[in-house]
Amino acid sequence: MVSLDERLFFLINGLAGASEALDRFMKLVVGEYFIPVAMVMVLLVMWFLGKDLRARERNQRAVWCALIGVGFASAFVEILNIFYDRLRPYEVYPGDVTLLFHLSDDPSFPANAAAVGFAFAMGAWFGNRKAGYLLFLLAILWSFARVYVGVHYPLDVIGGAAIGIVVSFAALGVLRLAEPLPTWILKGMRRIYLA
Amino acid sequence: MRADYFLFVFMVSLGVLQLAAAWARLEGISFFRRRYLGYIFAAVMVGISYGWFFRVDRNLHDIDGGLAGPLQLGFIVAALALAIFLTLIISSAVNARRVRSNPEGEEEGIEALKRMTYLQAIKRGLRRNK
Repeated sequence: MVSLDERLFFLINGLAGASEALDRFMKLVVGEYFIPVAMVMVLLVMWFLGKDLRARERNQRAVWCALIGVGFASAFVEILNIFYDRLRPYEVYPGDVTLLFHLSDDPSFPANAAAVGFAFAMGAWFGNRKAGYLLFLLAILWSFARVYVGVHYPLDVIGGAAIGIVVSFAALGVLRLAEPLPTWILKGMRRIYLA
Repeated sequence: MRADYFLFVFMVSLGVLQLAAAWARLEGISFFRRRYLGYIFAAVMVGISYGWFFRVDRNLHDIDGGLAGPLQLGFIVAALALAIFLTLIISSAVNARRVRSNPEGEEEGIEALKRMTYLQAIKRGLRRNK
């Protein structure tokens, strides 16, 4: 019996191959380089922006939160992969999936890309709503592309997104618990004009 | 692939730093007198870098020449550090005469770079600590 998750997968993956331009776009954004580098660049701009010292410091703390969240998300996915191994869609339905990406040897659930993307977005959102929304859009696009090219089920990216969001709250908590260390580091960086 | 990725991140970072400088009005780390030139430089650098890097298919498995996560992180940190270092050096040289240092200014951190170059700011900091 085909689950709702699988039906949704075939609905989205079924779009692949219909438009060459859309396929090319999805192949561009689905990889490990296009969107992650763009996300890092958004954080880089955030680091410098802020109408006053307070606003800039809020942005900078959010950048830390995002980076710690990304680290947590990757670690969490790695650990989960030890205990749960869901097969990739192209392994379950060989011949029925339009595959536009390279084969992977890690489990399908959860999607690491979604976990990392949403951790970036959530961390940034804590300090700067506009940057957060922009990163959420990128994270959604990245996650959608993973289903489109046939390497993840929708539930994999939803699970990944949930992990990314939850670990960002953990990262925020860690930053608060670590006080006054983050404040000292920021002050130190301010003394050498880097924060 | 490794060299390409490093160069890609470095070039994008160099452009994005000028975008940040123009947006935050940080005259001291800007390469240009006029802000709009900073935006144009950023757009050109980001456009060229992305266009050049993705001229070929980069969707490769780690074992086929792709970059594993930790390696990517290392290259991003290294390329960013180099871009920041060069931005601070180049902008300090370019703006040495143009931007007037304000030794009495009370601005702290990045805020100080609105009115002085990075090297001027460092000099001011050292004088204060004497």
